[in-house]
Amino acid sequence: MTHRVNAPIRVICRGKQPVAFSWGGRLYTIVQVIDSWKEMGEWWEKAPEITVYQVMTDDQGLYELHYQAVGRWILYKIYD
Amino acid sequence: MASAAAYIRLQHFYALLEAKRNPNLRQQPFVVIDGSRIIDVSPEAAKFHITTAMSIRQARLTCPTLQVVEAEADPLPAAERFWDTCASFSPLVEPEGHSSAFVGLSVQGNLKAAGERLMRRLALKLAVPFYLSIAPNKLTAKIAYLEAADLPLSVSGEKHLTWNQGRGQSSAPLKLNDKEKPAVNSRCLIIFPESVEDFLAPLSVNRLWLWPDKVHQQLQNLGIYTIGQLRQVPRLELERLFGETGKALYDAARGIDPAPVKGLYPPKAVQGYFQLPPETDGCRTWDALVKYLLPVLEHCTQELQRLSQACTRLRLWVEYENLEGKCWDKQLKNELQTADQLLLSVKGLLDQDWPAPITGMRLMLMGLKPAALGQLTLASYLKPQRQRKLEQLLPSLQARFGADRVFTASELSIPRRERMLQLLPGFGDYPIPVLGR
Repeated sequence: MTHRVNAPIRVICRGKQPVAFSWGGRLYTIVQVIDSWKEMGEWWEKAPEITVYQVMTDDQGLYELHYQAVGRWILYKIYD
Repeated sequence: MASAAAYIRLQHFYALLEAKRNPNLRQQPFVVIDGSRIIDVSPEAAKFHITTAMSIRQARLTCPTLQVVEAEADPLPAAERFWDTCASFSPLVEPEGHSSAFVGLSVQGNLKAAGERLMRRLALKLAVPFYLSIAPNKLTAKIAYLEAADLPLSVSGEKHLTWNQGRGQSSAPLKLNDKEKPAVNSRCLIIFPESVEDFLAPLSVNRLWLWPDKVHQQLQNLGIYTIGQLRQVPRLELERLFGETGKALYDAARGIDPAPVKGLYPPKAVQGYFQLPPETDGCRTWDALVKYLLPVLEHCTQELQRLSQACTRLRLWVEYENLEGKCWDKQLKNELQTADQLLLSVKGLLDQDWPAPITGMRLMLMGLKPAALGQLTLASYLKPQRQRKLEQLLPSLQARFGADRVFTASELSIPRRERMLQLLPGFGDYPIPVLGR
């Protein structure tokens, strides 16, 4: 099951990989990047390319983060 | 949050596939066979208590009107739809077979409420009856399924069970609206973390599905019949009797399974696509299409070469102007790795007349396996590049041909002749004639 959040978050990266993010006043440490891929929307409408990360945090939570090419991170959804 | 493993298994999967292929089988008692073995039974045959453990002769004796059908339907497309449904709940999907999968869950709050939500969603998305079991780990989740599958059918309205303590104690039906009710016989079983040991204790050691029958038999020969009895055996004793397996059995008796649910679905694939803007005319000819397709193919082949992989399965989605799209899924006889090979394959698929101009195409290269690259291609590189390339290629070559056959010169620590003697048993047993003293 998923719960859509779609909220901007702050992310700490090592290289290009996210290693932690803060949301709701709490810091979540990423223990595993399960999968990642790039998605391009309607490019002729100038929709930005996003990189999707499915991650597992230290509290066993499963999250989907989106990185937009403009440098913005979004917590897109929580698998709960 | 807490992690949990769900085990989902579709009932009568192969039988329903065959019934879909051949409508005459609907509502009929029949079994699906692979060779001489029954692999599935239809819901109507199950009412006669026919199971996959029976021989065809036994099944026919049980139900004289029974039909026997050879498995012919391709199970993969239906299995992928099932796994896709699982993947919509969690990125951790580990397919076990065409009709079953483990799903890694991250549970916020009450496990029972999460189980009810999952049951409802599955009931809405899956058109076939299923079993769902949720437990703290894979081992317990599948044991819970095996227990649920062995339960006799109960009366209508009591078919959706949750167990929270031991075998049959404190069981309570899930409350689902009529609209949300899954097909008949779908069942849910939840094992809470605090009751795992109580749940396992009375069960037979045969339920420890991670180990083969040989181990179960050895345990029974030692007088250990239940998992509860296995728990009484000291760790050192189990290690003495079973070695490494003994350590794992000690943990399993306590409901401990360190193996996490792996995210194996969707399998790794290389993808590329193009989609023409809405105001652009679609491609009417192959030459017009190649202009857009070639960059996509080159991108895909570059990615394949970077990964030192070749693809053995090709999936192609084509979007037509003002028409529904079409999808091809082709298992390839030969491995593909170059843009030219891919172009030929795509052309072969699109050989027939197009129903409308093509406006978009998505290509998915699947079934990735280590590529067999020739040594000659390496020879043209300068030395540092060649070494780097070789380091990248070595693991894939070793995976393909075996580590004992592919190795670098630096690993040769013994003289060549001795190595030859090891590789060729019998060689060197005879005295080598010495010529010209």
